[in-house]
Amino acid sequence: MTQQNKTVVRRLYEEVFNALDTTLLDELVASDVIIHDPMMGELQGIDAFRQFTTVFITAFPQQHTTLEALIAEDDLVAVLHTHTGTHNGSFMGMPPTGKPIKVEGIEFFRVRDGKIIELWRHDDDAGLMRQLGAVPQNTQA
Amino acid sequence: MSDYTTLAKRFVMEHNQANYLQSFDQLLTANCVVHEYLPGLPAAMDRAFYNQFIEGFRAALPDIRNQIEDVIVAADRAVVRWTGYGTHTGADLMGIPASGKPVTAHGIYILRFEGDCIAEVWNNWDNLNVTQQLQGS
Repeated sequence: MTQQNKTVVRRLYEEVFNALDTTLLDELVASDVIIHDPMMGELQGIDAFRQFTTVFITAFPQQHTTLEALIAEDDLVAVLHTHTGTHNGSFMGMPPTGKPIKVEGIEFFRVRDGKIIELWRHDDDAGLMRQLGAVPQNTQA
Repeated sequence: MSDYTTLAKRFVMEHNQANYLQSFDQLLTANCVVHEYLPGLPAAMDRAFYNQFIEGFRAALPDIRNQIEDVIVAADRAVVRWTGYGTHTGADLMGIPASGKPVTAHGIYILRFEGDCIAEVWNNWDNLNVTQQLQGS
């Protein structure tokens, strides 16, 4: 089951986000999916998932996500990954800047009957906003 | 094989304890490197840098406490999904002066083990949300 679950998650990144085949969402994502997103809050349902996907592929249309590790047990899958792309579309109300971005993250999925039922998105959002020039550069840890 | 679930949970919860440095000596390899995602940090922190990093959070959020939500273990890796709570009553944090406000963080650790010890740590949490909570925006 863990291998099958990893494949579902891998396909979301490689076939939907990288290859832009959004028709696969019905196959990969459950109708009652829940998304936990630090910027957008808690979203529910496949239509919300479609909108969630659209937000990122509109803002970063040629983005590529590299999967560095997939780790799975029971119904859970975690992914260590890096997104690279260019800000060529509107994002969270920000007009496109044409800036290149590189954002690292760790995401977490729950899979049931071969479909994603829960997603926790965790990217370096502060780093992304800094690269887009939306937050001051001088904030130090 | 060691019980990586127990060791991973211990690592996350020990951050809240006064004697966390002694626990880190038991749980982490001497050459352990830590990847956190905040401005001004090196891509990989060594043990000494990480101790300083954690001390900064503990000094800013004296009541800091972690809660474990989910754990995955497979081969030499463990993953912990966590929630952290604290009140910003102490030192400046990420350049932001104390506001007395409560903050909540949601994050995910990936831990890579070598034998019974953690050799590499990745921790990604909602840094933008937390910054906004600290700023009170």
